[in-house]
Amino acid sequence: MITRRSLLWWIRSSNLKLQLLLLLIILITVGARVLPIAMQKKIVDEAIRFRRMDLLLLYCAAYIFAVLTATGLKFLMNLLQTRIGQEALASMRKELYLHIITLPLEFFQKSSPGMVVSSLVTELATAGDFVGQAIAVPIGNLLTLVAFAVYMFYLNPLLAILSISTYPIALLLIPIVQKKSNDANKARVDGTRTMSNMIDETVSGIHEIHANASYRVEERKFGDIVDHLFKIRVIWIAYKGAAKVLNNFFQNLGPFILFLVGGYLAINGRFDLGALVAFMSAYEKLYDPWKELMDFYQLYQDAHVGYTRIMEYFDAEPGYGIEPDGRAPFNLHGAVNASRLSLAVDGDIELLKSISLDVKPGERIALVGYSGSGKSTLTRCISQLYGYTSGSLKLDEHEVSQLSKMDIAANLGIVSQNPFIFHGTIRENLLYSWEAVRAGRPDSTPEEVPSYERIIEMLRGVGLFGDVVRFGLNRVLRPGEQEFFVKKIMRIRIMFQEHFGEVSRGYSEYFDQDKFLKFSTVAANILMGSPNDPEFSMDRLAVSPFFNHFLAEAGLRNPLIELGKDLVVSLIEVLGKMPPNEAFFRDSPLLPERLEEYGEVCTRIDEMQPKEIGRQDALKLLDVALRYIPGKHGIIGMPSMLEELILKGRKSFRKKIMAERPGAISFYNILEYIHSLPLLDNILYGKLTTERPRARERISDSIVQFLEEENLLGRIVEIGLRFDVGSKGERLSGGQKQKLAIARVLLKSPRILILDEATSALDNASQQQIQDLLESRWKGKCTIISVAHRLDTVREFDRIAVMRAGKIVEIGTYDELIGYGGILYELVHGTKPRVH
Amino acid sequence: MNSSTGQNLACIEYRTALDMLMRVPLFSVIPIEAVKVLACLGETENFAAGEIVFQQGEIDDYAYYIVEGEAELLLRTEEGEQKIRGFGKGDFIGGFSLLSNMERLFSLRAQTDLCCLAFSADGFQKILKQFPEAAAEILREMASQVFRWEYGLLHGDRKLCAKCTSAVGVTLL
Repeated sequence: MITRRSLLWWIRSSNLKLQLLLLLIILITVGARVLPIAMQKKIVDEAIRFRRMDLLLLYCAAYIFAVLTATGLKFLMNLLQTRIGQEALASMRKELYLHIITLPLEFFQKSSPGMVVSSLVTELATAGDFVGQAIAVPIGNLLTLVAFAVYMFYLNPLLAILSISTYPIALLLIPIVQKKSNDANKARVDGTRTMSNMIDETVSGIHEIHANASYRVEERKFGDIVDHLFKIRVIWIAYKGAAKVLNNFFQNLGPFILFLVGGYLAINGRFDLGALVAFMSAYEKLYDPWKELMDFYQLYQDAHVGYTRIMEYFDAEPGYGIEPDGRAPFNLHGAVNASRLSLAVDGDIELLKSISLDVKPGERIALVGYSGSGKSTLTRCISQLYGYTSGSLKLDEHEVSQLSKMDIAANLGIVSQNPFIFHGTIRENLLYSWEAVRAGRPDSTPEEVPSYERIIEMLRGVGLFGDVVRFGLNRVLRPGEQEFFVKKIMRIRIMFQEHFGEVSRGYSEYFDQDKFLKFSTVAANILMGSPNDPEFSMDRLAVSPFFNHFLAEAGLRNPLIELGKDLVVSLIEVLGKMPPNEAFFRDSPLLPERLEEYGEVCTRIDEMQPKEIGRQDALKLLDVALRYIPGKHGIIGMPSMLEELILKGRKSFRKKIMAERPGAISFYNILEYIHSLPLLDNILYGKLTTERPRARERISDSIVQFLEEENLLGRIVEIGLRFDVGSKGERLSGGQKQKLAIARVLLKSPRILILDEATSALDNASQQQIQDLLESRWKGKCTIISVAHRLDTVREFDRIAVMRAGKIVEIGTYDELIGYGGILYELVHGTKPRVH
Repeated sequence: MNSSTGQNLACIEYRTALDMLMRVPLFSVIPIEAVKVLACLGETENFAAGEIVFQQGEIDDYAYYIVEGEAELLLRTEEGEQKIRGFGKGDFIGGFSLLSNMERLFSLRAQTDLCCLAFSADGFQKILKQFPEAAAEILREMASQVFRWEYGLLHGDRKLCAKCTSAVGVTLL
C-alpha cells in the first residue's frame, strides 16, 4: 500500500537508468571542478613565473574548457534531477489519488476536502523535489568536497588539516544553535496564534467592551500577550542571527589560518606562491558544496516530515479490491439475501439490528419507515458503500464483503437522493457509470458505446428529453457550423411564426426595427444585426474605434458611459463581495470573472464627472452599458430618453455601416439566420421575456413538434447533449440531476437497482413517468429495492418492508400489511386502526 | 393567452425590490447585504388574469412577492376545487420553497393581471452559503412563524372544528 512506503522507496523505484547517467555526469563534473584550480597553480607557477606565453594560453584554454564543461554538465544534471523528481511526483500523485478515492466512506466523514487537496497539490511537491535530488546532490557535493580536500592534502597536508579543521567544529556548534532557533520559532508561532485569537475575540465582543467601557482591561490583557511575544521574538531573532554569524565566522576563519600559516611557509620558501593561490581557491570553493549539502539536509527534513504526515493521514485500508482477482466480474442474477445483518458504529450504536430479508431476482421491494429507521443504511450496506459488523449479506451466493468493487458496479446501480453530477457534458455524465463498468472488463469484447437511439430512449424514459432539447436550443451556432441545419431552422422560424406566433407572443419580444427591445442588450439594440467583422463582436465592441466614433457622433457615448457608471456603482455595491459565481451574475451585465477589475474601476470613478473619467475606465463602463439588458437586469432602470436616442442611433448606425463598412454586419432580417444568437432566438426571431421554467417549456414543446416534422430533433438532442453542466452540475436543477442520475445508472443495465429516495425532487408527473419506465422496461429483468419517500407509490411494489429503529418490523404485500393494521397502516392513514 | 402579458411591462428595479423585501418579515431578520443580493436576483414575472402561477403537485422552487394585482390560493380535492384565501399587493408566498424543494400543496392563480417578483430557491441557497449567519436567523424566524400560526389556530378567533384538533401539533415536530 502506498501509505506504507518510505521516501527511500521512491528513490529506489525512480528511473534507475537516469540515476546512473546522473551519477556518471557527477563524476565528470567533480573532475571538471578541480581542474581549474590545478590550472591556477600551473598558470602562476609555470607560465607567469617563467614568462611562457604558450603555456599561459594552453592552461587558460584548459581552464575555460573545464569551466564550460562544468557549467554545461551542471545544467544537464539539473534537467535530469528535475525529470527524475517530477516523474516520482507524478506517480506519487497518481497512486495516492487512487488510494484516497478507494478509501471507505467513513474516512471522508472525518477528513476535510481541504486536507486532500493540499496533500495532493502542494505538500507532495517537496517530496518529489527531494527524490530528484536524493542521489545527485549528496553524492556530487560530497565527492566535490572530498576532491578538493584531497587536492589540498596533495598541495600541503598540514595546511589542509588546519584549514579544514574548522568544519567539524562548525558541524558541531551550528546545529545546536539551529535547534534553539527552531524552538524559539515554535514558541513564536504559538504566541502569534494567542494574539490572533485575542484580537478575534475583541472584535467579536466589541459590543461588550463598549458597554462595559473595559478598554483598559482589554488593553492590559493584550499588553501582556504583546510583551510575551516581544521576548520570544527577540530570542528567536537572536538565535537565528547567531546561526548565520557562526557559519560566516567559521567560513572566514579558514582564510585567516591560511594566510597566517601559508604566508609563513611561503616567506620561508617552503610553499610556492602558485600553490598558495590554488589552495585559497580550493578553500573558497569548499563553501558551495558545503552550503548545498546544508540546504539538502533542510529539504530532506521538510520532505520527510511532510511526506510522513501525509502518508500517516491517509494510512487506512481501502475497504475492497477494485477489480476481482484473476477473473472477470460476476454476472449476477439479482438475488439479495440478508440474514441477521447488523451494523454497529462507534462501538455500540446499532444502526441495523439483525435484519433478515430475502429478495428474489426481479422482485421489487419498497422500504418504508420513519426517517432514521435505517432504510438508507440498509441500501448502502447492500451496495457496499457501508460495511456491516455481523450477520451475512449475499448477492446471489456471494458474500458482499468478499466481492470486489467492480463486481458490485457491474451488477448493481444505486441512485441516491442527492446524486452527484460531475463537471462535463450531459453526455459524459450519462455514460459515467457505463464507462466505469466497461473499464473494469478489460478482457471482454469492447462493447459499443450506447447508440444515439438508446440514449434518446433513455432520455425520454426518465423525462430528461425536453430539458436536453432546451439545452440544444440555447446553443449558439458559429457561422459555417451545420450549414444545412441552419437552412432548415429558417423554415421552422416561418412555420412557427404562422402557427404559434400567438402563443409565444405573451412570452417573447420580436425583433422589431422600430421598437426598443427591452430583452436584448443595448449593443444588440444599436447593431440590430450579427457581426461578421470581429471588431463588432460583443467582446470588442466597446473598444472599437469605429463604433466609439459613431457613438460620439450620435450623442450616445456620454449617456452610455453614464449608464455604465450607474450600473457598475450599483452592482458593485450589491454584489461586490460575492464570489465570482455565475449564479449571482446571471441577471447582471457584469462578467463574474471581471468583478475585481470593476471593483477597482468603481473606487477610481466614484464621485467623478463623466468627462473626468480616464479613457480606459470609460471604455470599461461602456462595455458594461452595452451588455445591459433593461428587461432582465433590474439593478437600475433604463432612462426613456436614452431609449429614444438609441432608436435614432440604430438607423444612423445602419446607414454608416452600409456606407463605410458594408458587409461588416448582417442586419436582422426575418429571412436570415442570426449567427450571434442561440437557436431558440433564431426560431422565435426574438427573445423570451420570462425565466419561468413552465413558460419556457411550453414554448420549446411547441418548437419540438416542428423539429420532429422536419426530422431535426435528433440533431438538436445531439447539440443539447454537449451542454456543459458546470462544476458539480450546478447548472442543472435538482430534478434534472436526479433524472440524469437515474438515466446514467440504467444505461449500464444493472441486475439490481437501488433507489434511495431517488425521485424526491421530482413532481408527481415526472415520478409517475419513472415508475412507468421501471414497470414497462425493467419489470422482472431487474431487482429493485426502493426507499420510498411517499407512500402513494408503494402500492405498485411486490412487497413492502417496514423499518423501525434498525429492524424490519413488517414485511408483505401492500394489501396484507394494510389488512394487518400495523405500522404501514398507521403511516398511510395517519392513525392506528380502531380496534373492533 | 392574453396578448397584454409579458409585452412592454417594465422590470422591477432593484431599489423598488429592495424596499419591498425589507418589509417581508422573513427577510427582516437577515443582514441587509444578503437582502440586497436577493433583491438583485429577483425576476419580474407577469401573469395574465386566470393564469396559473404554480400548480398543486408540481415542484417549482420559487417564492413570489406580489407587486401588483390579486391572486387566489386553490386546493383541489376529490370533491373539487375550493378557494382557500386571496393574496394581494405586498404579500409574500412560498418561503418554504426557498428552503427545501417540496411539491406544491395548493395552486396559485392570478385573479387579475398579476406582477410578481420571483425568487429561485437555487439563488437563495447560494446567498445563504455566503451569509451563514443568515441561515440560522431564517430558521429561527420560520420556526416562530410556524409557532404563531399554530398558536393562532388553537387560541385565535377561528375555532377549529372538533375533527380538526386531532391534526394539530405541527410545532411538536
